[in-house]
Formats: sequence, C-alpha cells, structure tokens
Amino acid sequence: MLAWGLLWYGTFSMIENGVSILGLITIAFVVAAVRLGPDWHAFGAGLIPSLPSKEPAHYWFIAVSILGASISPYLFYFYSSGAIEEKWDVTYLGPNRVIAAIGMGFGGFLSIAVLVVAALVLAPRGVSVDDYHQLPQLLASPWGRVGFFLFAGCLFVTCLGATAEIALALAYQIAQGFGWNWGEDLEPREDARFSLTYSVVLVVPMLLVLIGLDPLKLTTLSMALTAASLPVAIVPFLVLMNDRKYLGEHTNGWLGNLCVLIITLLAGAVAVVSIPLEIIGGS
Amino acid sequence: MSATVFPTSGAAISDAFREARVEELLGKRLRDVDGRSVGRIEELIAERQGTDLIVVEVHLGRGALLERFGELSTLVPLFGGLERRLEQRIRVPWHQLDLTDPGRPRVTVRQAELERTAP
Amino acid sequence: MRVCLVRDFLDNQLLDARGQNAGKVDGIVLELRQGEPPRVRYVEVGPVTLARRLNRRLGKWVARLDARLGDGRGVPIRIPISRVTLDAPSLRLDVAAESTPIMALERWLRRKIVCRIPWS
Repeated sequence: MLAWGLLWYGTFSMIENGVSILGLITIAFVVAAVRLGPDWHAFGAGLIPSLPSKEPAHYWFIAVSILGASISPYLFYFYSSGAIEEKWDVTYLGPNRVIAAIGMGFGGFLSIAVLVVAALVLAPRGVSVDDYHQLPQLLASPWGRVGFFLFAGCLFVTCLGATAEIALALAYQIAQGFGWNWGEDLEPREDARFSLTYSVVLVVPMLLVLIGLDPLKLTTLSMALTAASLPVAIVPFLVLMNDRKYLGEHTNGWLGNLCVLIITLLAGAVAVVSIPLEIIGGS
Repeated sequence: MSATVFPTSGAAISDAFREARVEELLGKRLRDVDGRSVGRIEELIAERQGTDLIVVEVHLGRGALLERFGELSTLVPLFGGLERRLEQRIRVPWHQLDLTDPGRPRVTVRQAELERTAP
Repeated sequence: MRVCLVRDFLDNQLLDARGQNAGKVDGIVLELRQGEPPRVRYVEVGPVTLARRLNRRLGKWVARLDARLGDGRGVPIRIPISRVTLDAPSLRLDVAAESTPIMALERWLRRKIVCRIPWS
C-alpha cells in the first residue's frame, strides 16, 4: 500500500531521491563489517575469483543469480525512462557515466559488506539462511539491540525501493510498448492506463505471497531466470545502441559492444545450465 | 470488417476499394510464375507523389530484414565481407508484383529475372 | 522522398497535435488499383487491429470487448494517411487525440476508476 501511495501521489524525483537517501541506512552493514574485525588477508583473498570446492551446481546458480540481479533488464527500462522523466539532454551523458559507475560501485561495495557480515556472524554459528527470520542476527550481533531495528529499517527501505522501481519499470515497458501516455510526474488522471498498470503490477505479487509461495526462494529463482533471459532482453538494446538514427554520433564503441555481448551471452549460457542443475539438486 | 475513420470532414467517405494490409503482407512468401519461392516480403518502399504515398517496390531477403533493424556497420565493424553478403536483398518493383490475392502474393516474372542488389 | 513502410511507419509511435502519445501504428491499409501502384490509404490504430495480427479469433474477441467503450470502438480505427506526417522516429497526427476514439479506454478508466480515488 505504501509503495502504491508513493507511486500514485509521488513524483519521479521523490521516489528516486527519497528512496536513495533513506537507503543510506544500509551503511550500517559497512560499519558492522568493520566493527566485527574481519581478517583482511582473507578478505583480500576472497576478492580473487575462484572455483567452488563443493556443491558446484549451487555455486554457479548463486553466481548466475548475482549476475541476474546486477544486470537486470528492468534496470535499463527504469533508468532510460527516468532519463526522459527528468528531461535529460546530451549534456548529461558525461555526468551520467560517472553517476552510473559510482552508483553501481557503491551498491557492489554494500553487497560485499553484507557478505562479510554474514560470513562473520552466521557462518561460525552454522546458520544457512533459508528464511527471513534468521536475517536480523546479521546486525543484532555487531550493533546490539539497535541492530534489530537497523536491520528492519534496511529491509524496509530496500524492499520499498525495489517494489517501486520494478512496478514502475513494468508499467513503463507496457505503456511504451502500446504507445500510451506515461509519466510518473503526470497526475494519474492524465495517464490512467499507465497508473492502473503499476497498480495491478503491485497487487499480483502480493497475491502470490498470500497463497503461500516462499518469497526468498522465488527471489533467488527469479534472479537466475533474469540472467537466463539476458540475451533476449539485451541484444535488441545493443542493436538500438548502435543505431545512428536514434543516437546520432553517440552510438556504442566496439569495445562497449564486445563487453556487453560477452557478459550477456556468458550469463545466459551459465544460467541455462545451472538452473536445471539447481532444481534437480532440490534447492 | 468495418472500421471507424476519423477525423471526418462531415462529408461521406467512400470506402469501397480493394485493400491489402502491410502487416499481413509482411513475412509472406512471394512466388514467381513457376511457383518457385523468391523470398519473404520484409519491407515495402513508398514514395510521395503529389499528395499520395505510393508503394513503388518491395524488398525481400536477409538484407531487407536487417534494414529494419538499423545499421550493421557499427555493430560488426570487423566483418566487412560478411556484412556485404548479409545486406543483399531482392528488389521487386510494383509492376512485377501481383496482389490479386493478397494472401498469396506473386511476382509476374521468373526468379532469375529479379534484381538482386545491395544498398 | 522514399520511406520504408515497415521500418518507419508500422509499430511506430503516433503523437497527436499536442505532442501526446496516441498509440502505435498497428496496421497500414493499401488501396490496390488495376494497372497502377498500390496507394497507402490509412494507418490503423487500436487493440482490435493489434489483436487481429496475432490471431483472427482473438481479434474478434477483443472487438467485442472494445465495443463497450463507446462510439467508434469495437472496430479498427483508421486515420487517413494525409493526416499523418513522418517525424522520425515517430509519426505526427494533425489532430488532438483526446476527443477521438483512440483515447476511449483512457477516458473510460479515468472516469470509472481513477477519478474515484481521492486526490487523483
């Protein structure tokens, strides 16, 4: 309901900036990671990619899920629609590269902090997370009592942000596909089809959870499926990014094309192999 | 099927004409006088003549299909020879086209007489 | 000037005289003339045309539903090609779409649902 209210009555800036500012609460994980005093040599060694020593199917499934979460196609629809909402022009190209790099880097940095905290708090207790109620331990241990509320805040803000983003991204995709009027900055009465689309998008997953589907398992599987769908979603984007009719002189360079193509095809190939293995393995 | 035409000028619009639909012609296999398949219709080229927009030719083949998706040159800069082969298309001018039955479009000549070209 | 009907017209965005989105071009109607080249007569807009492209039976079913939206609906909506200009990558219509059958679903949803929610 809160996500719906934010989308229905809010503006794009309110959603983007508001959620981003509130999301800074997740820095609690960085502080927690430092306070727990990790072995920095082990941390450095962990940064070097390595092959799994056990459960390879599960390892690759998780790797693919992380790729799917990082390069989700919905991000392209949301980000590019946001650029139109905020009326960006060519002068934003340079700053946008910097912002995107810093944003992705910061997000990755926070993810590393969460992994470090999980390794230091949960692993010694032999806890294998398969339910949300096990998660508050992550911050309760380094932060004490206030850690529980910090964790609740982090979960709340990140879920709210993801819900709003994905509902909007889907609504953008559908409205733009059918050629409707769309815009988070428009009043709902000015773009009724768009507004009702994101409203319906918010209700459907709620019903799925109410009928008993495990949200954690669903999330992990959907991240892996996203990676599997990357070639289908990204290749048309790649064609557009090379079309001078749309982009003039700002088309991709050959290096950018090559990188995107390799990552996309690799992610797709690994996902197609690992998802069945994971399902057969019974995750 | 009837249709709503707008905006109307108030005068009655005479709508009785033989019609074909571009989206139904798209992808249809074109056959020559001997019944041999020439290729699939991938693009229709139109030209302004006065106030009218007239279909002057139809393009078939891989090159015509790729024409719809933008330039290959920036996407595959290293594959010059491949690019030239991919961009081959068959041009069928309107007077070689027989749309008597839009569901089964034909050309009025033999396959070998059609023009093969690159852009 | 030559144009590609599939690349430049079909499935491209239609903008009305006020710059509002007015749907996509879902169909293009050609007039077949004896001894003369085919002439583009109309572009078609709307769910009936789109559904029919996928499946004829689906098109009929969508037409029945669409007819409930009021006058001019339930059938393909045709716009004379003279009212449409190419403004790549979009196409421009020389009338405002709001009062036309194109926006019937938008008006219906606004009236029946959106305007009943407070402060919309």
